[in-house]
Amino acid sequence: MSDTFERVKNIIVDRLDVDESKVTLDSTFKDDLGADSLDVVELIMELEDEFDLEISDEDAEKIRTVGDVVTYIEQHQ
Amino acid sequence: MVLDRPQRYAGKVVLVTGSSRGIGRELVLRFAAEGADVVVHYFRNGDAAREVAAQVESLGRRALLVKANVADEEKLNRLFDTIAQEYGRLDVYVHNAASGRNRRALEVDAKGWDWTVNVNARAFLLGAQRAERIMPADGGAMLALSSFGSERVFPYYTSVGASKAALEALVRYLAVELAPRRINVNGLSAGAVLTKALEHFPDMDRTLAELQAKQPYHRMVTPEDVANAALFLCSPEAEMIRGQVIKVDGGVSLVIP
Repeated sequence: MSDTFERVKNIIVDRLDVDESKVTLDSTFKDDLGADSLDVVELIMELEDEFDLEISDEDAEKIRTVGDVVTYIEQHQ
Repeated sequence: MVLDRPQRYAGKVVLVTGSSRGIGRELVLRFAAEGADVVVHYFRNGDAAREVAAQVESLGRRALLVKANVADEEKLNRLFDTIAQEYGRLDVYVHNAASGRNRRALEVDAKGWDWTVNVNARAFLLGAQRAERIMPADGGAMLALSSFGSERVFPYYTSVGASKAALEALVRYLAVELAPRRINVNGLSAGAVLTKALEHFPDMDRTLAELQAKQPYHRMVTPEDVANAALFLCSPEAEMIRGQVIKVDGGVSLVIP
């Protein structure tokens, strides 16, 4: 597992209050992790701070799974 | 077109929060077109904000681009610290940034409530406190963008409507408290303006169609209409309009039931 995934996972566990074992690359934010739209906004803010990048609303809308986020971050760093 | 505009804001510094798109974008561009150096503030739309800043610069004005989550006190403070550092002053503070948890009253949760009220109302209170400190001795202006949801009921608009009611009350309190400082504080309630913000509300198509059918005037309100009123309200010409929430709605609120 990549370092990016580990850092993303830690933020998700902390922010969404979910068990670490539930966070895999395939988990979807909405259905598997129970995140609503506000949770997603907050998560994105935190990811932007953690990785020092900007995720636009347009890009954020395309993000469904944890793997999508990890790929996005790795491609934009 | 731009050359024909009066230069009511020459030498002034204007902050419009949420100015990457919609009404905020129009406002910040109009202030710049009338001579102001501006602060383009954004939260989620960096590309759009950079485009607005470039447009301001093409008008020959300066644009300071700042990203901030205005629901976060520390980040809001940082926005005003940056303005103080870069411009050393602020003449006009327009609180336009807004967000909301769009649910029925019985479904609004504490988290969504806090988020909405912090962005829509608390940010104006805390922002006004910080803005006052860097406004010149001879005064300035503050303007809060409200909405009809503060007094009327729209589907899924609970938290936004309540936050806008709080915002309008803040306008009145700040107007009285800041009058001796020569800072004029007003609100502007623009009814339904066709921007992307409306896409977030379920059933908005139906609500808009109803409004359109009932409006007394022949067209809907545009961001340009809002800017016309906003630039007047923040100018010395509006000196004796204080603590008011002005409706810019083409008269539609007079006829909706």
